Amino acid sequence: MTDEILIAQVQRAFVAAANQVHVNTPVGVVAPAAGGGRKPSGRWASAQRWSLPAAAAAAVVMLLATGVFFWHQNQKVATATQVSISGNVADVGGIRFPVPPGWDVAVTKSDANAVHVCVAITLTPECDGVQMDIAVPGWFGNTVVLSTGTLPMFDQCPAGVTGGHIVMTDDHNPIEVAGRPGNHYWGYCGNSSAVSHLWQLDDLSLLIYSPPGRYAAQISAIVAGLNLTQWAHHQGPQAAFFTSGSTATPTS
Amino acid sequence: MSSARPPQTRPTEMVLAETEPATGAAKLHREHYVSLVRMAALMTDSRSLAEEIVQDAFAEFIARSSQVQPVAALGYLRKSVANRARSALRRRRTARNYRPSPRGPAAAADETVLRAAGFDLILRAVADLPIRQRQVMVLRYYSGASISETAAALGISTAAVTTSTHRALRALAPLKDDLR
Repeated sequence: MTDEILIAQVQRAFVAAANQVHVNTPVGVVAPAAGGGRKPSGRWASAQRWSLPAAAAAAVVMLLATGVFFWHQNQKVATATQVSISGNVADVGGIRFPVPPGWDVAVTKSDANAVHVCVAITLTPECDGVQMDIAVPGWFGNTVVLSTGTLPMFDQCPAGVTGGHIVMTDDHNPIEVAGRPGNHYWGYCGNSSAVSHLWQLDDLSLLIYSPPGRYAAQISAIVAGLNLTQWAHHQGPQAAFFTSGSTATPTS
Repeated sequence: MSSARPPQTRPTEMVLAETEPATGAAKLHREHYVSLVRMAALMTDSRSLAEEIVQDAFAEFIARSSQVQPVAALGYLRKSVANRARSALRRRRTARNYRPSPRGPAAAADETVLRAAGFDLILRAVADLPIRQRQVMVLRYYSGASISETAAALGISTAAVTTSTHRALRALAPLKDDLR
């Protein structure tokens, strides 16, 4: 082998070995981006640079906020529907009241805004006993008003009977219900029909009522022993107004 | 590379971009960076070390670019790379001599430069050459430098280049039979 052949072999070896060296070329100088357009500069470049992270951050914040909202809603309802009975005192979401001897308490219905409670000897969905409609407290205990759709139950007249529906309130209204402004209504259909009772808070966050002609003593006892100090629902502005008074006394 | 080199506070490519209009350093970098790294790798057997050497060479070139004629720029870079590679090899060989391992030095993970398939024998023989001869071989037969360019890059005379080339080829001559 002559020197020329040896040199050629050395050259081939060098080329082959050099090709094994994969160099990380600095992109900014050696390999400009395809297209070669001017890079945006200044505030526009900064806006472009941050737009994607900002959008991602906003999406994350929205997801978190939505998650927190639904979590809080679930927590509120879960708290509002918690029922415990200790001795003869029941606690429904912080509202405490005496339970008549031999009676029981249960939440029969609830949604994001209201909880329906039945206090009765035998608990049924129709609830033959004293009933409560309780507003679920809003954010941080803010007041929530119950739907006035609950009130028509106070119509004492059977279907087809009109003109005899009478609703009375106590002369000394407004009264206090468990230390909060409230009202006591009682009504009947004509002079001889059975009387039912309704106590409510003036902010329409709590209604307690009984069926016509039944459980007057029990509902009175429940209202008399009502304790709202542990209830998360703050007292709200007046939503129900006293319209007329009567010296008449409910007969049952 | 070594702890003795001056601290480099800014990436080379950034400095290059700023000085491009005045010196053409970016053009040199773009056109010769890869080949210089490969040349250094052939001299040192280490890609990472080679990259570091070339980066340092460019940094030095930029710092002194006003003193370098444009036509001599590539030669300046070759010389800088060769000097740094030689220094690195000397340090490495000194370290090897003092390493207590009875089985000899273990190759670094990226020291696989001279192991191209089919050329192991000749590349190993080149790696065993004295540093000067090895550098002459790389400059002459990889970089395509002339004798005078090689002499300039290594800071030696053209006669010394010729002698080193001759001695290197004589050292590789026993491989003739194996390479045939």
